Amino acid sequence: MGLLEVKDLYKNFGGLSALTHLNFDVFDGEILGFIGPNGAGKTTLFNVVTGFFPPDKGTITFEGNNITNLKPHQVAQRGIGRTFQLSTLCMRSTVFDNVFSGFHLNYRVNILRAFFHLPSARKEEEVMREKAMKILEFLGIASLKDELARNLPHGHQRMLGVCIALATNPKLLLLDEPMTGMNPEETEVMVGLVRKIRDNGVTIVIVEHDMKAVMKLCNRIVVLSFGEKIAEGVPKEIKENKQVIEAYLGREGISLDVA
Amino acid sequence: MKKLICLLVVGLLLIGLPMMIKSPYYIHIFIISGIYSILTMGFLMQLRVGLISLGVAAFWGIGAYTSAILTTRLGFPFWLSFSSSGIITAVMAFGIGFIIVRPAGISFLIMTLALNFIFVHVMGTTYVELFGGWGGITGIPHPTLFIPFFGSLELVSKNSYYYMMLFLLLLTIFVFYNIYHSRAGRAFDTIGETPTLSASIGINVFRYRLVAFVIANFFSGLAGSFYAHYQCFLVPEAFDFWKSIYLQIYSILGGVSYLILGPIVGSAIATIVPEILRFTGLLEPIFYGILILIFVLFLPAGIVGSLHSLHHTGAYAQMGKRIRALLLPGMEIHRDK
Repeated sequence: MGLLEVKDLYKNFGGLSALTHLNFDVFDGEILGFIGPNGAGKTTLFNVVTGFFPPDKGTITFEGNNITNLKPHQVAQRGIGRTFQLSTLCMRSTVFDNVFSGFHLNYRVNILRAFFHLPSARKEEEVMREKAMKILEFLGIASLKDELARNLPHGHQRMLGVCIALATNPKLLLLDEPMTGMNPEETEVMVGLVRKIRDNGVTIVIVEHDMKAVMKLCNRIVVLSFGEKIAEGVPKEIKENKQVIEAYLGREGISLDVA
Repeated sequence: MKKLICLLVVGLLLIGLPMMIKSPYYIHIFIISGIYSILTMGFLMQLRVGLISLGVAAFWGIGAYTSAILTTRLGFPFWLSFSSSGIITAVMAFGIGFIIVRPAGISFLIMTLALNFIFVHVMGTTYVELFGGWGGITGIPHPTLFIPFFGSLELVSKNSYYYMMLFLLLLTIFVFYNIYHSRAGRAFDTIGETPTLSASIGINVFRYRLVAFVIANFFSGLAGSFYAHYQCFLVPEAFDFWKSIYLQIYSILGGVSYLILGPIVGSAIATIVPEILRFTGLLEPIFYGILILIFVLFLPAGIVGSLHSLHHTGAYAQMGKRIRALLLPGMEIHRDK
């Protein structure tokens, strides 16, 4: 049984079908990659799974519970974290405050105690501060903690997005093109980080255009084209799949063997 | 420590103000600007969660009318009408907010604006025996405080109103400060900047927006009740939408990122400046407009924001040094060594 099970998922935007008859499972502890040409429905899939767009048909099950029609914040409460394709951060806040905001679900102290800043509330925040620093250190941007998010270079903004998602303490993390706009060295670092996050017990689903990184990183890959799943398998199978090469690169017969 | 001394000095100054300023007219200006500070703080709390409200004055009016009706028509004592006007305004804000907060954005803005028009119209034309029509409600009693072992005390003088306003303002500051510095405040920040990210980290955007809307309007209602008992009469036009627009000007003058000090400074400047400009006679609005334009153009972060950034660049330390050098030349040299 998968951690996340998606069955017969449909999503239309007006007359355009963004997702058609989509079935897949995400297993505990794996890194699952989604690839496909632009407009294949990868980001739509993330938005449907995390509750931003309600699906037209189909069921999404997480840890055996139906989460199909939950609101985004309820999905987050169940333990699904996500990042966004465009860096979605509190641009006016510092890096540290950004990560700190991600702890919203972790507060245990009564809201009235928090209002009056009683010792228990202050202690809880102190613990969270330490945790936030740990997350920043984990992703290697601790030295930037007092920088404003809008002043960060693009690569670091992507990392900060991952930091915020990690602060929610997710069981499943959906990364939407985390390596976009990164140079090869940064991509290399990011690949290492994603592995490290997985090794810490977080299952990962990743959408990425950087073939080299996807092939290296993922245990399994699902290929989407015009909202339909056209292939699923380990990277090696995908690389050799005729249909995938066709959908992805046209009929030129260019090899996907980039790694 | 430095902060504590600063607070103490400001506190003493505020308490001692009526003794220093003998003119009741100036006390009146302070009281009015205190009321506007509370309203502007409420406006900013809503702005913080991404709700641009053009209907703050309507909720202010709801509070004022509730208090006026309860005391003049039903004979409630002041303290009861004061607290229930806050609660009734909050309940109405909850009901209205439940409908209009969800879409947020521009439709929220339009609906609050409409709400303001509706409020004025309803107060002016319907249930004339109850609401008093366009002529308003007169004869609202002065607040009476009941002090045990002392008897009841009617607050009539400007000074007593001033202290009451001060109390209300401090209460608002206390509540707002604590909210902004707790998890709710952090959630507000995130929602205001990006509702999408907020939802993805588990913040119930709608609930927090509604909470901000209700809390802000609860204090608007209290301010309204105080205003009713201060003016002793109410007319619907006192709560027209221009008042809501003015609150935006006050918040911009003070600086929109300064959620507590900004409204206080902004509304104080905005109520005092027209008084200073009074000598210009009929041209006063023009001068006032130009002045605001200058403020906004040259101090985009607001007055508090500009002072704050001066502090960061060390301009105050420089200024202090120069002043010391002027006043105590010997000491300055000694220090430099």
